[in-house]
Amino acid sequence: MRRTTVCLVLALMMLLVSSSALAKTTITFWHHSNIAWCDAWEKVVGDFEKEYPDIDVQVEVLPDFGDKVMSAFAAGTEPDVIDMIGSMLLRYAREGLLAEVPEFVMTPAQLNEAFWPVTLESYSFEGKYYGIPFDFNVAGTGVVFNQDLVEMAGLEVPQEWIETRQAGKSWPELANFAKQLGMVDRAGNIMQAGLGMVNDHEHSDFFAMIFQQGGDYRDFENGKVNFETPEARNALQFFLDALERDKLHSIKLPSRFDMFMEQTAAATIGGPWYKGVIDREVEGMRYVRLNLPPFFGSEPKFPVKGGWGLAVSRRTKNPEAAWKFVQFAMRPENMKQWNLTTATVPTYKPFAKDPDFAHEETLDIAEYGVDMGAQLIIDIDQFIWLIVTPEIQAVFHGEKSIDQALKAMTDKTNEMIAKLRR
Amino acid sequence: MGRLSQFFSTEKGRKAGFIGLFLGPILIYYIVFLFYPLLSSLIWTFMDYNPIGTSNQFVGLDNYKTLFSDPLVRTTLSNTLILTAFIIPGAITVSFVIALALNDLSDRARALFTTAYFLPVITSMIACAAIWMWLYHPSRGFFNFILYSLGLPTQRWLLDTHLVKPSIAVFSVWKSMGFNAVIFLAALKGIPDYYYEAARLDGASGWKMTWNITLPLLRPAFMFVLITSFIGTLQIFTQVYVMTGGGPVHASRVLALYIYERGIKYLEMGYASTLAWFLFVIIMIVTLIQMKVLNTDWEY
Amino acid sequence: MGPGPQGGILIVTQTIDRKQVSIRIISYLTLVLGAIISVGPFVWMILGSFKPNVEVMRMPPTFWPQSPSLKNYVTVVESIPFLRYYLNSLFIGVAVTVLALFTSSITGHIFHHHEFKGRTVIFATILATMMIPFQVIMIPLYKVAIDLKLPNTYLGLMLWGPVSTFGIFMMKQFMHSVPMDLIEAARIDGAGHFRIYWQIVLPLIRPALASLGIFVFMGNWDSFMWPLIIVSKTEMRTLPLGLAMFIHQRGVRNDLIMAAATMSVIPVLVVFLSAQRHFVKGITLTGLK
Repeated sequence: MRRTTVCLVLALMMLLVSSSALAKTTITFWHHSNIAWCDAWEKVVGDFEKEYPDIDVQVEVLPDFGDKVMSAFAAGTEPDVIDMIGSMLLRYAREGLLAEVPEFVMTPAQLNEAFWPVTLESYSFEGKYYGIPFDFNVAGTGVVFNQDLVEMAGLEVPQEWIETRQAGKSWPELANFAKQLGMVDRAGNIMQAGLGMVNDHEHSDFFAMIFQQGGDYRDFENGKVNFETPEARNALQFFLDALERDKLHSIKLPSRFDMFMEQTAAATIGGPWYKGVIDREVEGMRYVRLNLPPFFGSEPKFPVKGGWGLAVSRRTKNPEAAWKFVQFAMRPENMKQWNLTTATVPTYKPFAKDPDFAHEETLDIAEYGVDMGAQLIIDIDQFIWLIVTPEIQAVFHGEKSIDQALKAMTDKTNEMIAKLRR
Repeated sequence: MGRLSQFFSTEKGRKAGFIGLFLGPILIYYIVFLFYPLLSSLIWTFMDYNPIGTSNQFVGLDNYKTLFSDPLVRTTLSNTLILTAFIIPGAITVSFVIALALNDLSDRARALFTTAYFLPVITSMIACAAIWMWLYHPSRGFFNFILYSLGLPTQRWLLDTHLVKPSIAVFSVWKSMGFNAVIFLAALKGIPDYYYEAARLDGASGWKMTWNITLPLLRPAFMFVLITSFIGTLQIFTQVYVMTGGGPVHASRVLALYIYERGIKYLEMGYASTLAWFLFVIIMIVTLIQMKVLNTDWEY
Repeated sequence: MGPGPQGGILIVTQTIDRKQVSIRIISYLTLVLGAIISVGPFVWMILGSFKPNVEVMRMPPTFWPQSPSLKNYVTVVESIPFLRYYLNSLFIGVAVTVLALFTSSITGHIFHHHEFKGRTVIFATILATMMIPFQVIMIPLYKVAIDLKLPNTYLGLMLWGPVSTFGIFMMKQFMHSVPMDLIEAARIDGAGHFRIYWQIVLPLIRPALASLGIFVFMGNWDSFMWPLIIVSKTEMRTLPLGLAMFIHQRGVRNDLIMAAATMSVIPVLVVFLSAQRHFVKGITLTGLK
């Protein structure tokens, strides 16, 4: 009697165990809401679920991505896998909220072998790696021309530029061309911008200008930043000249991104990913994308904040499935598809020679990309959006002098660094 | 046990049971979701508190020191006050004029106009903000089209550091004028006719009567509209969050938005709590001043 | 028409003199202009929602859509779960309103019709909470919600609302219309406390309940900050939140945004137009008491 009961219980337990093993594992995955990103991830997730029918990926698209990720980690409601930008990642890695990349996915040596080191800067903390970078998220390495608007101004994008894939040998050549593309109304207001420059990621160009002059704001030795340098001053003055003297764009106009999408800017500085949005949101726009010539000197250096990539929460209940998804997404063929769909610059080294990416802007990343200072500044996101951008814009609005802004930038950043290190 | 059930079967016990059963949970709700957070918030003002941080420690008066040295506090406070200064007089004058005009109409015409004025009130703030963002658009907006057609210089509205606050204020007045007008209208209707009859017999003119009878009798309505508008405007958030996100630069960053950013976006809950208490104190001061002023000056 | 019984605010004289006529004309013009300003943006929104993006962006703008199409609406419905947002808002709005009406009226009744120890102090304390701005509560409340695992749940969304201090205050004011004698009489007849509340008090304060209900529902329907904080999942978004997120995502597409805005507005509009009187009365009552 007793034995039969035991047997029954055992059988029941086995049944339960096996049925739970048969049941689907669910992992949650968050990514931000750029329309091209949505397409790219939809494809990856769809393919993944086909290959692993036992794993169900629940995707969440977050338009207020930056706001939500942090509160989700605080609430313990973060997803298992997250497509996070390098500028945010370190903050979480430091607090021990992200899982280390396991050896079976990639060892540190393999990571360094596979990806450009400049992006990995934002993905590592104390020698350990906390995510797989997918792109460079460069903001201002290219110029996009709206060919209809260029032709309406009676011009044409020079053949030579198209052949060399760079919009002029130097900045003045581009600026002179762009000046003829703008339109001003009776009151002197810009109705059509010749070259979109501000209200979107201008911090990136600001940093690029500093680096291109051979300057640097990162003071690794003292664990501080310093913007009170002649190079930074020149950079802001350079910007002011382009806005006020050349009237290429204005801080009082919509962002360069919005204006280009609304076809009120004939050209704009912009990241490669502009293509993803243009193709989906602006019907029938004829455009050409070229590399941006350097603002200063001859080397088109540009800042890198570590692009978007996949990270896994340390508290995930399904680490196996989560990393399986990451592994699947980072297969070269999937990563390539992802990079092409989002029109981002790949950080996977072998793609640098891939002819499919030959038309992409600035693949000489290893040579020209400079890390923004992830290890030094830690919270690059706050640094860019809460400190640097408002200060730069205050100068453009004429509310602060260049020196005041640079001082404020320096002080606020150093204050933040001190606080984060406390 | 027996004693208890005995107690609850007496009249006194039944009453206590009724009160306890229904008032109890409500008081618990107040304690858990209001007084406890209120107390936490006060304690956090003395802490460097971040739920994902590892070092949540007491920092004494550091947050208060930061509060007084943080330039963004000054900016956001002055933005909030300036917006209030734009919105309140505008909202009150416009809605009072509308109420006066509405009061003069036949019932059917009044109902028709009230519907029109009430549309923005019942429509969600986000939808309204979306429409106005398009109206304000610098190159594709309706307002600039009008200016351009009239040969006037076009404006940058929400993208202009000087115009952004008036622009948000105009929108806010538009959104709320129907609400306040209806309250004024009801108050106007509540004034008995014989007041005016009597005044007329004394030979008072129309404007004199408006000044001497209507306005003083509308004091409670004015009080209500003023105090609620003040409290609401000092906490202005939604339209700013959607329309400008606090920009350009910090020109429309208001206190409530700054508290949200610090507390929810960057999880600096200690400092954000300090900011919130700061806002609380300001609201208290403004409310008390109004009560004093309105109670003394308007006595008749 | 002539000056009606209430017509004496601006003018009291019975004879229609020139001054009176001109004042009337001015006030009519003001009203018409104001009405155009009030309604105009909505007309512009609805017209815009039928135009393709190219036309929405055109300068000078077109008034009537040149080839009206429903394409924008289709795109919106395909890209976000609009119906779900609607149902979320509706469900939360109704639930919170019902709860708030119950808690407000029963608390108002208890405070008005019952004597008990600490009544004045408790009522004063509750009333004092009206002064507290939401910002002070919001951050710790978020922490409480986290600890109770409430983010992304209906319960979490409803956390702020089922008890309304304003409602309690208003209900207590209205309890004057329920005479104590009536309650005493019912009690002598042997009615229980809850029955008295349910069968005597509630029916008598029905107009006030309707007003409060409209007020609470409208407030909740439009609430933004708390849902913004507590929700990250698409399927849990309320209508305002969903709309705001859509604006966030598709900011360059005014055509789609206008379609989404129209979709969020029209049903409310229909309800409002059919029950307009109650809305206006509701606001008046809540505003004046």
